[in-house]
Amino acid sequence: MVNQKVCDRFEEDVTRMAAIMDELRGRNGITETRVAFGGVDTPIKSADYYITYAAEAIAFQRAQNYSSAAGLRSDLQSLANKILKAKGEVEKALNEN
Amino acid sequence: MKTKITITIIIIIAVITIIFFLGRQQNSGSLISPAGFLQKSTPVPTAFTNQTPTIFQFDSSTDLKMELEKVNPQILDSDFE
Repeated sequence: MVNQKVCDRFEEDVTRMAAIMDELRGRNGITETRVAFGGVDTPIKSADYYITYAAEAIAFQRAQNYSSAAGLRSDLQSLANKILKAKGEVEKALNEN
Repeated sequence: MKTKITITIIIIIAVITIIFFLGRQQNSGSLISPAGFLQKSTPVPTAFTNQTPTIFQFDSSTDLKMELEKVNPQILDSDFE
């Protein structure tokens, strides 16, 4: 339950960042498909990549079972750091455009 | 006489030990039987959320940097209560 509750909250953050990038791409007239597997040669592509990476990490985290709160907290903190990394990339993309 | 008793005791302990380990090997065979497998299977983790996904839609008037500031992933102590 704790895992799902925190993942729900994190998913909202990632959804917000994805919507920000959608709007940013729209403002810049970018219509190409979102990059998820490489070719991250622009700040926008890099931000998209890390948002996708964070979303996949959340999906993986949801499927985990824990016997100790310490282990859960540690993995959730690692997930939070991935979301913060994505946030940093989105900030770079916003500053560039 | 004492030597014979000692040897007899050692043999009895060895036989009991062998019987014990043989018994464990027979029980481990239940792992490959369907009933044994089902008994030892782990519960399927719940990976689904009941929360309706939040949808964000921004337009040209949205301050995207301000929206990004709202992204603040944290693990609270209250989550574990």
